[in-house]
Amino acid sequence: MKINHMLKYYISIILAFNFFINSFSQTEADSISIKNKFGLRAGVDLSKLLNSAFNDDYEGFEVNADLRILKNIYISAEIGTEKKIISNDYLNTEAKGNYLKAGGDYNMYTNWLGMDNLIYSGFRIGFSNFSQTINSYTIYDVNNQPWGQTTYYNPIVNDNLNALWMEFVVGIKTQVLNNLFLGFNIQLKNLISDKTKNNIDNIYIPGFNRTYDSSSLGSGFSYSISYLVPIIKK
Amino acid sequence: MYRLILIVSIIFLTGCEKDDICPESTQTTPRLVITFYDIDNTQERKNVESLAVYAVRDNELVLIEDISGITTDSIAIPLRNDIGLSNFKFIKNYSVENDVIFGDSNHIYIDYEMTNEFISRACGFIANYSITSFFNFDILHDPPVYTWIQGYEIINSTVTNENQSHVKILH
Repeated sequence: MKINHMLKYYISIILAFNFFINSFSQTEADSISIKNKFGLRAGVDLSKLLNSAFNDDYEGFEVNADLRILKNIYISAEIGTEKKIISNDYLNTEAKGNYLKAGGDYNMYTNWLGMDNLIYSGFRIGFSNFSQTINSYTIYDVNNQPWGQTTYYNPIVNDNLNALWMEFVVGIKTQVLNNLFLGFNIQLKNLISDKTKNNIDNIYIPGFNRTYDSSSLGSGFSYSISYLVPIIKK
Repeated sequence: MYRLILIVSIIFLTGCEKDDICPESTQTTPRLVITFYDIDNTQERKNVESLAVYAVRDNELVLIEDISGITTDSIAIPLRNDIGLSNFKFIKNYSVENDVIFGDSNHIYIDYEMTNEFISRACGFIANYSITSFFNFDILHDPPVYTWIQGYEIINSTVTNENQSHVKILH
């Protein structure tokens, strides 16, 4: 499973790099006045759909949208739902919930005439409302030799949990057909606060992804397919 | 500049599998610490000669591996985690020949409440105990049989670490 994940991940990085290098070979726009499309672009995260289809321990769906407000500035948001089971030697946990991320993107890429591609960096504030259930747990006891290991199967349900974080995003969006875009981005996250119950850490936060004991940082990526509904051209 | 951002991000994302292995230094479920004192002078530590401790699990005796015929005045024994009671056989002057146990056997019965405490994502939970009762005989055996353990005192009923003695045994 992990290898599978890493493979997908590396393929995505390679694809991103290819695009990157190709796109640098474009030259600066000349002085002929061109019209830019301003509009609402909406789409879905393909990686979450694929992950849901191929992994039993994951279900997720995300809708993303952005609205161009200035030549290089976009207001962006993602809304989604996720369910994720994480299992290790001592714990089996399930996180389930919804999230909303909102912020803006800055397009750093200078397009050729009439093109609408993006290489962007952006910022988001994320909020998630979720529940975490400890399905089973094994008591960590290195001295249990005479008695054997004990595993409890009575679930501990912690609901109405929430988390707030910020994200730094770097990504690309490229127009593959008229008004149809494919995108890829990576996200670096920093957890600002999260609500826990029964002194149990939040192992996974929908929208934020897995957490770490040793830091408040997190990461993520997405592939998106989106459609631009042009409102005005100027 | 853009490439730099991407490369830094890749390095960051790739190093993301730490925290998933429970480190050995993590505090584990505490054992019950028992210290042995002289019945004639209850302030004086007294060694038990060649002590072995067996856990009694479903009428079966399981030797605690590090207490198998040692001369000592203190031991730490693990408690059972699936139910809140543990039975032990404390055997003094212990020896084994052809799978037959020799020595002076004394039953120990401990009743306790458990609280499972979350430690970390990699290690999960440990158990803490609160001792409710302690007997130096088998409560199922009527009349009770007393042998070499002549008295006891619960010093700390809350078992959250092994830094101090929880029970004092007099012999």
